Amino acid sequence: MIEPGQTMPAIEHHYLNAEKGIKSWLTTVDHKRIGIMYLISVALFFAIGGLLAVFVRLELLTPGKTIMDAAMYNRVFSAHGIVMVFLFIIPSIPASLGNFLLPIMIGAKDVAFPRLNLASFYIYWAGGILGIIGMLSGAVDTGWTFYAPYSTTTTTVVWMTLAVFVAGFSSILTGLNFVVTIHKMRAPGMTWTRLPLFLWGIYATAIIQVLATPVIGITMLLLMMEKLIGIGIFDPKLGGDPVLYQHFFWFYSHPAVYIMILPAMGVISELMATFSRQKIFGYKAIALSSMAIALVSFLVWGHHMFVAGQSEVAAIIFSAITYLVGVPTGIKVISWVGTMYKGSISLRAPMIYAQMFLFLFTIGGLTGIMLGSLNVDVHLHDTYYVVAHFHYVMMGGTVIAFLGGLHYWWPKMTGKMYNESLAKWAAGLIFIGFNVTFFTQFIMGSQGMPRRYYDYVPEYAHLHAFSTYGSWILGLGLLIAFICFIHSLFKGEQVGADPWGGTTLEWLTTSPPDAHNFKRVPLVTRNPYDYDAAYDDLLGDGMGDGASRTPIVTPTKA
Amino acid sequence: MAHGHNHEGGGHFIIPQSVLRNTFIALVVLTLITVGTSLFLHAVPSLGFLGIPLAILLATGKASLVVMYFMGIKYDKPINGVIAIGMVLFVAIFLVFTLMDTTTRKAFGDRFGTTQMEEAEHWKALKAREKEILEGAKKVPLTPADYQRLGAAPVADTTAAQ
Amino acid sequence: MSTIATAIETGHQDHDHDHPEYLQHHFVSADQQFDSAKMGIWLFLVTEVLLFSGIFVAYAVFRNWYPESFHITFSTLNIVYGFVNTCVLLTSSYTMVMAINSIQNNQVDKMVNYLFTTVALGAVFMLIKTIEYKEKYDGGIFFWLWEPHGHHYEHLANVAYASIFMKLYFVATGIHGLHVLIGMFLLLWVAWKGKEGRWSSDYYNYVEVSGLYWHLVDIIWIFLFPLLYLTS
Repeated sequence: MIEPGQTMPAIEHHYLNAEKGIKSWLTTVDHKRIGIMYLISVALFFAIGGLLAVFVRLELLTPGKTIMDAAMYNRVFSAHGIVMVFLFIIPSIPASLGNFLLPIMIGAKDVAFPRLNLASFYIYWAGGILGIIGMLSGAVDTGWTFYAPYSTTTTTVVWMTLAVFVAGFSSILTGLNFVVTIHKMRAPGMTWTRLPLFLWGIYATAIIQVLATPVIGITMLLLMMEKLIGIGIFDPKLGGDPVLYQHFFWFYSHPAVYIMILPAMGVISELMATFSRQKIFGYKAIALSSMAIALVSFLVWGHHMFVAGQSEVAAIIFSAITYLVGVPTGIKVISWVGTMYKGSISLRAPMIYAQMFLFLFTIGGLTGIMLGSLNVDVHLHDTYYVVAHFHYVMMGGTVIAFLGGLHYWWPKMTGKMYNESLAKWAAGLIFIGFNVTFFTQFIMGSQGMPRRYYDYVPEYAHLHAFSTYGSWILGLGLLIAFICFIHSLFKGEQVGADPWGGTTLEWLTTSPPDAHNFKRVPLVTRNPYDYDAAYDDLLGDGMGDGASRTPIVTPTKA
Repeated sequence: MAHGHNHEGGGHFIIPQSVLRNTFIALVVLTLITVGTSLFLHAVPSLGFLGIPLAILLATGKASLVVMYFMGIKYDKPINGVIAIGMVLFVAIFLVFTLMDTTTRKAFGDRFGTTQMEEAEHWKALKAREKEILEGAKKVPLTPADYQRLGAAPVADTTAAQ
Repeated sequence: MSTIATAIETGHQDHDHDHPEYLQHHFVSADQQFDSAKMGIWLFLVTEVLLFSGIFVAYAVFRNWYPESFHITFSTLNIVYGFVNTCVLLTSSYTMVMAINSIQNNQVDKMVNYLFTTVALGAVFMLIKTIEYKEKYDGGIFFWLWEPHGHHYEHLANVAYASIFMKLYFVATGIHGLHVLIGMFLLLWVAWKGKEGRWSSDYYNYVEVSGLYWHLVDIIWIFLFPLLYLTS
């Protein structure tokens, strides 16, 4: 046992030092290593996308030209969107935290198809490189949505659409892997109702990935064909319908936003339970609402096209269903608040991020409902109101939850605890910077400032400047968060198996975990957030083998 | 991990060869019926509207036979069947909701959502009637000057009250 | 350290627990591995179906908007080729299930023969398709080409939207043909490995997975045939 005041001994053998050398990383099939590689990759693309955002905001600091001309501006915001959506946020939580945690949380040794997992990673990078080539070769200025007919009449959109097509495959294969893993690889006793809610989120996400992503694949393919052989289904000059392109595009891209948010909501469920030291309120409600969101998300894509030229009949139906999709989300928010009620709240950095999520995501979600109203959308469509809405849900939602989850599982992944006050400073700056940047944009948008505009009338100048200053504060906060993580790798305190008192299976393993996750296959006999029953498991020697109930399970002969 | 299964061939159920053979024959027969129906509908054009529904129905029947017997869903774990049905469901959603838009473009009587080709036709028709239209426009009083020119009485007294 | 941890960490050299070579280490049993493979391929087939669905949706939208153009354009497709190709693919699906049946009964040679037959039938399909494509090409119609001439196609030049429908035909059958080719290579690899003795009635996962893929290729054609060739 470790006495108070003693430092934790470092774990001798774990997944990070099980094999040494670059080659061992590049050819690994260990889901944990793949998760770390994804983490580094998405962080890199986040930095690139973030830098592009800084440039966008810098240009908008003053009316007229500030640092670039209009043509360049169009390319910069297009690149920002493409990198952030396809290369950062869609893989973000599932590919990094999901890959790392899924097998451990179900008591398995790895995902169902480890080699496919590695292939997914390489395909993702192939898409990333194609995207970088596309950006550097310069002419994509269509916005991340590649709307026809502009996209079928500009030149180098082919690289970017190819990049999206390829990156999409990575997403599909990851989703496929996760669905099979959750169905087939659960440890004995891990029933569906004992799954951690993070995994319900990952599962619902994986289903959407498998169903929706192929459609963006065929859309990009048809776009390329439209450009290369002139089919004529999207280009009106050839007899086509640009609105049809939007149907194809948004059939994927709307469920895609739920790919972005469902894992984040899963993270928040974990944080709420652990840092309230309480059973999650409404486990079944949260689990089923994840599945409901996944299903209903396929029925609302037309709300991106209210003013595009689709029929009024379709617009009315899509609007009505859009109101429905807010209901399961509301159920989750209420359940999280219910989880905190009468709990023993610990305001460490992950919980701070969880609180930020509640506030920011609620604003983002409600403004989405407002945009779902037909008459309101006529005025707000393609204004900064929409920009603010999706940044509140994507950044205020997903990125904040991602940061919270990173802080939470960082000690597990690295064995090191980050510096708490540095983390809190970063969180505070991020919160302030984010709201200054994007709340201003709600105001601008409702006053009519259109999105994707390079120039604007002087009436908006103050709001734009304010928003740009906010982006600097936000950038600073994110930088400090990054420094906090890196600093912990060198100076962080070694932690034991369960520094937070979490009750899901990953807290039974060592920090960092063994290459094969568990010394023995766990036998699951309790619910994931059952704090009373969990203490029996957790009060081991902190070395990850505290469970007195894990029998040895040998592989059976065929 | 044991589940009830025959212990032939590594524990997986072997679909009887007669079932496979009969399925194949059924598939070929259905194909012949499909072609036959198509030729029949060519000969009886008034029933032409049946073309697509029948074709889809027969194709779905054939596909179901392949899925159930050749791909073995009938003898498989239910989850794979759920996946197969889900697949069809989501294709249906894509199709139905998109068609819901494209088939109701003119639902409220306007020309909302026409293609460029149709717009060009419309403009040509308008151009042909241009002279007529302009003459007609001259007869509609809008401004006070028009009222004077046409000698029409003002509809309402728009002068400010003293 | 437990036996399992040691055995897995040190790799294949000092295997002191007996399980079949084909059983991958993260699986607990061969059944789990087979079930996972089957579920995995079904999910992959879902993605393939949704990929093709885009083409079917575009087809439906435009057929609904311009039915006369549709009818005139697709009347130039030869029903005989389509019908023969349908029968060829259906037969290839049959030989495919017979291949599975053979390996389930541990008859490796029979399986290999059935697999080769399946591939051969696939080749026949591609051959007929090539003939069809060549006919169109000679008539001035191809993926990017739209200069219809010759008594069979020249009337299309005056039909509005005919090029849309024709190009949709090429994209649909082109992507399908690509999938047939990929399937053929896949089955050839499986047959080759079968000849080397890699498959048995205990382990034929790759055969099963390839078979399911091949059936999907057949199903897509089952829908393409009436929708493209049998206009009325």
